[in-house]
Amino acid sequence: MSRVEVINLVKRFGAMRAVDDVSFDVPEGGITTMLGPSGCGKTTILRCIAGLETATSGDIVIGSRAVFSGGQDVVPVEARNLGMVFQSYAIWPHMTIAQNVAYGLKVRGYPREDIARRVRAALDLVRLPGYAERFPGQLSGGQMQRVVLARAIAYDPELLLLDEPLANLDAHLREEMRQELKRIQRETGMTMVAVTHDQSEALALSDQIMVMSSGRILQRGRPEEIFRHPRTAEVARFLGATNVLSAHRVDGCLVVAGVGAVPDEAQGTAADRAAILFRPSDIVLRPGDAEGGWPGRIVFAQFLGREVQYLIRCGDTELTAEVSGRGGVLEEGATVSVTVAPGALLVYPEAA
Amino acid sequence: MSVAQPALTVAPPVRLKPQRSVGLIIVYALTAAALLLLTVYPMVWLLIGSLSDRDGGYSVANYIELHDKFGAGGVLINSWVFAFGAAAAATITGVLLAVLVARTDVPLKKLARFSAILAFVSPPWLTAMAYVYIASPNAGLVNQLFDQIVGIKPFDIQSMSGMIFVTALFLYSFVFLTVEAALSSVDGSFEEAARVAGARPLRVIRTVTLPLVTPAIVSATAFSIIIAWGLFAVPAILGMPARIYVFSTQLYLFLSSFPPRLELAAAMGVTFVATALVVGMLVWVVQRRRQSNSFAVVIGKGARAAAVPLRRWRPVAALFIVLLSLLSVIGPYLVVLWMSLNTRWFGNASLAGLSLANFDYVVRQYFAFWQISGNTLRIAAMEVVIVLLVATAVSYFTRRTKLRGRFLLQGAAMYTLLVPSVAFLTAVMWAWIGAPIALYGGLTLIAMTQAARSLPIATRNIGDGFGQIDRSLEEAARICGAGRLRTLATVTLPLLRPVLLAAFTVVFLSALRDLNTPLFLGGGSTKSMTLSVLIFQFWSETRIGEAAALTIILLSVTLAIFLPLSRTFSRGY
Ligand SMILES: Nc1ncnc2c1ncn2[C@@H]1O[C@H](COP(=O)(O)OP(=O)(O)O)[C@@H](O)[C@H]1O
Ligand SMILES: [Mg+2]
Repeated sequence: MSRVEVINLVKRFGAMRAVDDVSFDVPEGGITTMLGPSGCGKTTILRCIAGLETATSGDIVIGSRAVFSGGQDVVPVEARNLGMVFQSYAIWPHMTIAQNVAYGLKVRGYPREDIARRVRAALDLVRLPGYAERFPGQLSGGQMQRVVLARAIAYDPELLLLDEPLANLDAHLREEMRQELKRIQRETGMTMVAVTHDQSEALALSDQIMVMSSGRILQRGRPEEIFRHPRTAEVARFLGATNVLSAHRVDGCLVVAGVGAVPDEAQGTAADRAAILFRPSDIVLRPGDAEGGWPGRIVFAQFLGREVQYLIRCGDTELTAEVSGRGGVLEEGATVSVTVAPGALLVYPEAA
Repeated sequence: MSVAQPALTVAPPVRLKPQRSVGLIIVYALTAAALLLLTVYPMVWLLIGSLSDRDGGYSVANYIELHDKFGAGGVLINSWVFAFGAAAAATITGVLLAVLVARTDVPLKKLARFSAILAFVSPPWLTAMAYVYIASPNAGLVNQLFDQIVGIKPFDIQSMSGMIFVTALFLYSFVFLTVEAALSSVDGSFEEAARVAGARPLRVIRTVTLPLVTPAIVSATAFSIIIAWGLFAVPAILGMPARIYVFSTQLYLFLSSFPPRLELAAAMGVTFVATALVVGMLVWVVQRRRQSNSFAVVIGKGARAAAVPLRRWRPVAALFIVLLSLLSVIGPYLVVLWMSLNTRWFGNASLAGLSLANFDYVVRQYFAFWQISGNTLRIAAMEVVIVLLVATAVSYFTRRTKLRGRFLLQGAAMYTLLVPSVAFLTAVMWAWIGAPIALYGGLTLIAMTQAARSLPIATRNIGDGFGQIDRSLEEAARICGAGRLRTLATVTLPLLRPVLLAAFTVVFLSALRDLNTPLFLGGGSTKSMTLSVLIFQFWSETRIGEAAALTIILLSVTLAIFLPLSRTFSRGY
């Protein structure tokens, strides 16, 4: 059972295809996240679903209603029965918190007692009771975020859209709100579609992730699946595998120039050239030139507290490594032996 | 899709039904129609009028006659000298004051700002009348004083330089407000960077500050020229007695001669509209060049440049501000007050002669006072309604929709900025004098015409107001289920309130002080007369005390409306 279906959606701005033939569906209940670098078309898709932007072609179905079809918005924004959390919050400064939250209920013509009850319930749900009569100017960022959420869910919309919901919060609030969002989703069972450029946020929040680039969906799946098995090098890089080595086949084995042979477990491709990707945190460093590792030299070390980040030169390439800070910091210029945790190498065939 | 859908937690949407935007199209059409009627239709008639000869045919005879009559001399030269002189003096004064106020530690900044705003809202004819009283060649107060002491009468306000002087005292406020606003929006870090690089304060102002606000200065100067061409009161009060005619007064002569020479007035109007368009184009070219040089005048993070210390020049600068306030506002106000309290003319005035007789006469005895006051308020009210409705609609269409032709709509609302006032009035006469709808000579037409003149500034300010409202505030309302109209009523308009209030003030005050429109279009009967016309009429009949008393009354109303709002006003005049 899917709540939203997007079929062959295209949105052009002039000659530029901000959304390039995208199809996907959003299952009932749960959080679906669009993850991708800034400018890849996430917001545009969200706004097309909302009806704030008119797509160029394709179909959008929400619930069982076709809302966009044949190049036209069949159902206008206000009749789509959605909720939306804007990146800029968009809390109306001339209304109290209660009036903000009550807005959608009033528009729908709920009776007055109903409105009061639902406003209270919504503010309770986002854990902001007692704020009803204040004006938004007096709120902190996290509280604003809660108000927007309350406003968007007060009238039980069919679907909640969230555009970079946590981007404006500072680090520790972000984590707290992430948990809150998930809790609210679980408590209400509401279907949510969110947009983010932050992989850890997407991983923590989502039941389904769509990784996007240049207006297309590269891969869609459960967070764990996407994290463990990125389908392409691009997805892998976006999910944190920022170390890239290119290897050639020499005598049947993949070899990285100036570094050495690639471990057996990664020999699975038949191609003559391959890109090998892995995450900085999957590197194991040993001082000196121990057996079995790639020889390297530390160019730059940066102590980050919980971990230490190293820039290491291996042959012609530079690798980034993040290792636990508990073992002390290796000196710049020191010789090290680099190995990668078993199973962490992601190998993709590369065209010659 | 499966058949039985599990019951959702979703309450059935009670009132959500698709709304077509038919209403929007209707409002669009109405706005377009209103603009056609208000601004476009008259200008078409001006062109037709200038080409019609007196026996019903069409030719360029009027232009030839104009050329033969005035050729290169007289009125044409006077108009240029007058407008350029006034604009130049206003620009120098206004820019100097703006830099002092926005960038130095000069004292009395509040006084400078406040007098500029008062000069901007008070009628130019008030200043002209006051200066006649002070410095008319024979009877002027100061001249008599000098005569008694040293035996000469040095000042002659009823001359070209007098006209320029008085006009500049009013126009400087326009330049000041424009340039000061521009200066405060320029991020201070540009100038700090120059200071750090080793430039002295004066050099920073010359090489960084002023270049950054050049577009604002250029457009303020250009519009000063166009405003000066459209100005009637000052050349009429100061120039006509000395037989110095400029564009506006010559036009008035054509229209009030017998028989009226409407077609010559039209030809003259077209000539000056064309000239003004050239001036407007020049501004546009300058602004374009600036933009293509891609000056990002970043609206910074509100960092203001540190005030440049004036040190020993501080008292001089303070004196400049005091003098300017005295000459432009305080002096004229006091003189007019003095005039209103005196029943004897000029040199014979004395403290002993003070009385409220003039006020008593104009309020209690003059037969049409209440009718004329009523007219004034009715016209102002009608104008405000028209302007706010049309300007808000146009801003909405340009800023919030993608309807085709919306920029034409904006153009139609804004272009009258480039049309000198009296030329536009001639156009309106041509358009309505023989029209099947009997608007001519009535209050409605006066209100419509004033509205057309106020539309540019209101449209610009309200448009900027729309620009400052984050789109997502309105989108949030749409998502919540509100239609366009409801969103407008519950979100957009409430957020626009300060801007609308400021626009209301500007428009209402300009309606109160406007002399040109009711004078040219009123037809002289008390049925369509306003207070400003009555004041002018008293003045022309040398009933100085009565004119001054009425002026004081009008001024009190103006200040009563304006002062409570002056704070919002000074930001978005
Ligand atoms: N209104 C618009 N006009 C022109 N281009 C736009 C508009 N909105 C977005 N774009 C472009 O479309 C692309 C996708 O934008 P967006 O969906 O906002 O990206 P994201 O949310 O993934 O950062 C960007 O290149 C952006 O510049
Ligand atoms: Mg975005």
